[in-house]
Amino acid sequence: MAFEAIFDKIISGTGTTTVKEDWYEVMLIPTGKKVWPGFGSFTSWDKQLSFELRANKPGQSAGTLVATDKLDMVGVSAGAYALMDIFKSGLVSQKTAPMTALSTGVEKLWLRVVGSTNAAGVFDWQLDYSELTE
Amino acid sequence: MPVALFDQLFQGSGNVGTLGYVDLGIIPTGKRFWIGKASYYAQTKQIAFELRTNSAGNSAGSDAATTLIDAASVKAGATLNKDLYQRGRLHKVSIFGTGVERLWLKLKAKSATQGYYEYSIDYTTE
Repeated sequence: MAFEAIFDKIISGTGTTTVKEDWYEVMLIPTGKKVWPGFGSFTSWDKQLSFELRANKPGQSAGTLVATDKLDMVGVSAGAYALMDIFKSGLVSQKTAPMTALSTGVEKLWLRVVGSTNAAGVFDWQLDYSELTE
Repeated sequence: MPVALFDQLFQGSGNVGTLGYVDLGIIPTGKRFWIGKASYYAQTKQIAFELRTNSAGNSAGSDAATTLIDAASVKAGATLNKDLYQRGRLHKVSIFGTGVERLWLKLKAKSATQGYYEYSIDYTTE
């Protein structure tokens, strides 16, 4: 049975944050493409964390607030899991959906992880996404 | 009579320490499993559940021999129902089987104390 889903790619990772604000590189956006994130899954094992999915502005590559735009965010309690529905169940059109800009070869997708303490916190993340050429 | 898309079911239960691999079964030759919905329960501690497919030619239940299809975690005493179809926007599938590959459920927890879990996964074979 032929089937074409929109979000046909998956990327995942794990990390440990020991500061109140941490930046993790999700991926280097392929040149000439933009990333359309659909759904994110986040687990926080030890402490409450908020996860922001952020994309570099055109020509930028640093993991900082100034160099990025926020696509979506979700908060996760200690020992819990949350789904980030960036696609908004299809209620947002592709024209206005959060996605990165077309990459020039340097732009990245970032995960900004924020907690209220410096205690160590382990987390897992997963992103279902698509790559577009326009 | 309506015909549901995901007409088969994996279900089971057990106890896990910090890590475990549950064999959900061999992937039929020339076919693959398409996962629609997963329900997970963790009775006494937080457990992460990862659906993983063997990569081509592999059959072991290990990180090296598998790739991730989807992951979720459940806090202690809770159940999570995860929609892996999302009205057709997702297509969570295993690899096409060649006669050896299997579908696995990887369980992960921080606490080494044995924790009881249950799972129920709706799927179809295509």
